[in-house]
Amino acid sequence: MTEPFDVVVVGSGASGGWVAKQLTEAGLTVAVLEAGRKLDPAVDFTDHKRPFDMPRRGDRYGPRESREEQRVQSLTPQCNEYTHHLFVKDTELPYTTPKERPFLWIRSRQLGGRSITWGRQSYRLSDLDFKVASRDGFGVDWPVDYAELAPHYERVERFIGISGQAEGLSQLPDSVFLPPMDMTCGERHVRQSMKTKFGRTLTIGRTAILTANLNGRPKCHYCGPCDHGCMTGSYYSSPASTLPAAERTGRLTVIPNAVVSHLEVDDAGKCKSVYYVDRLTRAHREIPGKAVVLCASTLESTRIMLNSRSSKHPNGIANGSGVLGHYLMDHVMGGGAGGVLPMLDKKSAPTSNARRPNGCYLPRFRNVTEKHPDFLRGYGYQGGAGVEKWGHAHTIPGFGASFKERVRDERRWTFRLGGFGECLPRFENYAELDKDKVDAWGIPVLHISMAFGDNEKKMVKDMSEQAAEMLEAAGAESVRAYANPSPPGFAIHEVGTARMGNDPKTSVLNRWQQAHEVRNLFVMDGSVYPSSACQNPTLTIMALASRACDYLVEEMKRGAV
Amino acid sequence: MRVSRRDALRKLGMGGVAAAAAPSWVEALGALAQGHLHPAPTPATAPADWTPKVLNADQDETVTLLSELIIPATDTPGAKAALVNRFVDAVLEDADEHERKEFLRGLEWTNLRSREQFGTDFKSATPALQTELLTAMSADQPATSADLLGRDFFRAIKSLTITGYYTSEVGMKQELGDDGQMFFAEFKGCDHPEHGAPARAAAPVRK
Repeated sequence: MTEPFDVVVVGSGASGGWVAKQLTEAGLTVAVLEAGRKLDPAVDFTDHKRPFDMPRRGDRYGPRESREEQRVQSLTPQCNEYTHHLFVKDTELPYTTPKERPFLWIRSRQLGGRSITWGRQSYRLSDLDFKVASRDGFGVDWPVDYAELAPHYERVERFIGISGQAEGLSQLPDSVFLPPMDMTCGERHVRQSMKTKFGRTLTIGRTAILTANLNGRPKCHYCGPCDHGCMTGSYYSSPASTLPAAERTGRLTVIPNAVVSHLEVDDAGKCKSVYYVDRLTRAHREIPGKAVVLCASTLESTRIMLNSRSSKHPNGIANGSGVLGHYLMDHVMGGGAGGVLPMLDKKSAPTSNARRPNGCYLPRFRNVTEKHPDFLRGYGYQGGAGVEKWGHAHTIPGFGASFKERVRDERRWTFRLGGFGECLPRFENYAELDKDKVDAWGIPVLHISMAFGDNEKKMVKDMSEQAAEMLEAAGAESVRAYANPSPPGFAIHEVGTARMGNDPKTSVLNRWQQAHEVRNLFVMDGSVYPSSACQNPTLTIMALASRACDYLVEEMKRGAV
Repeated sequence: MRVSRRDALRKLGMGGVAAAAAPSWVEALGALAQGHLHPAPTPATAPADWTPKVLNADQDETVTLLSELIIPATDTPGAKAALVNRFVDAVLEDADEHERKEFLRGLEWTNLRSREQFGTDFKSATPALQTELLTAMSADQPATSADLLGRDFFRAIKSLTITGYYTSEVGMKQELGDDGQMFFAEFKGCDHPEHGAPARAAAPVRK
């Protein structure tokens, strides 16, 4: 490793894996630095563990040591007794927030990052999102439009595999789909009602799970809990898909346990090397590269840049504008409703124990054709219908044989909808280096200051009301609506803080995700988002990376990086 | 912030297991149990190879008894065969001190009340008297405020029994009809035209 690599990639998650694949396949030598360890699926994945294999039956908050060491991580349902080892320890990786502005920062450090535990929902953005400021005057347009990104969506989709149903909606362009998963009776029923009464399209979730064998990976076997890790690699995770492809080129070097602290620059201010601390030995090392691509995740990539201070870059690398760290966003959740579908009976319940690891999606309908009087932008819903198994036992009174019989008899069809809303980009939602605190490896931690505003709160109210109205219109009973905006970070869709744009005064990166001020520094994760849209971000992050990698390869070929 | 007794017992009982054993839709979509009319089997593990970590022998016996009263053996095994007492002990071991204390206080309250009313510990009372006391404890509005502990304790042990039973091997396999199969060729959804399902291509006829 004395020779400098063509490209050093920081982070091995969904985007880092993609970048490694595309760059090595284009003939470049690539080192991927990963802060965490390499997982052993036989030990670390718990997808085939049953509740009774776990001491506390898969407890929501995990064992005592997890509740103590992972006070933030354990707040997300994804971090539980099955999976807590796939999330960081907050005690090792603290961050600070103002008291009145809580932010949940949910993180994984392992080869594959959060692509091991992600929700896999995958939706394209449209020009409604890319040309957003031109439509409603708030914020900025993206420096890329749909026509330019569409071929990159397709390239990513053809490799990782997205199952779904084409619906021909302008606000949610169709992907190149593998066969859709089936809807349940309850979902079909509600789909019909929403179509007829509201002109809205409830579609099966579009998900990065294979419904047909693809590129050497077997299709899903419907065991259910993907977020426990997938033994067969049937959903997209970088270790099951892009990283092996990169490895096959012979040009990939993966360095686990490399906790990146900052970037070293030369006299001209260009990146010279990536500086890291060995997670296990605490030894300090430097790895030189002709170019650096940060895929460390939103906030982590920004943290590395803020911590890369030099005489050329006194406020952090690529931060002459002072924009680095600002315009942090996350989708707002907390509005929705659930109800019982009395028109369906147990006879229409599924007859096998196969578990569909997917729900349904109701695409955005606000501010698409008509302007909403109360808020800008919009939200989509995730949800679905199924038959209760035993959770309803907690609501049945009494005890004894009659109670047990009622649990059997009263399995109802229920339907739920929960919204994911767009968050407006605001300068005052930001992250900066905390001046006093360092993590377990001696690296300065972030101070994160974010709150949702009036627009998001009004949106959550509408999510709640609309969900209830649609459920009632579909004949649902016992409809319960809720409207409690989630704390920022809870959606784990954090984006922004190193946004791309055409104006170097108001953005960190140019339209190719290359730092305006440092031509051999690129960022290819969620940090680059100029606005959050309301769709789950990972697919778009990867499509953007595909486009930016094409540019990086061309620029390197002509010696311009 | 002081955590009230009721909150402690509620937290212990609801433990989050029910809500988070799987993503909500996975839990919701888990197929309906079919054909749960099996003869009651013997427990998978003999109770002798286990000792409780929190409960003493008397308390363990009482918890076992209470759980079986809540979900008894019928045409499928009940909470005792599902070893729900072991789950309760494991939850108590991992719980916060305050939650553990409140639970044990509730257990003691049950014995005290049994002695007052029936002149004997709960476990030695007749099944009819045990049911009588449990029925009183299960009332939403107890007769006196002194009985609130009994009501809250009932809610906690019932909730633990529900979670412990339906997530046990016995409960899942025999009551819910989920034999643990992990590999399925397909997830078959709705194919009813009345729900709007598109017509399926007819299956090829095998000769």
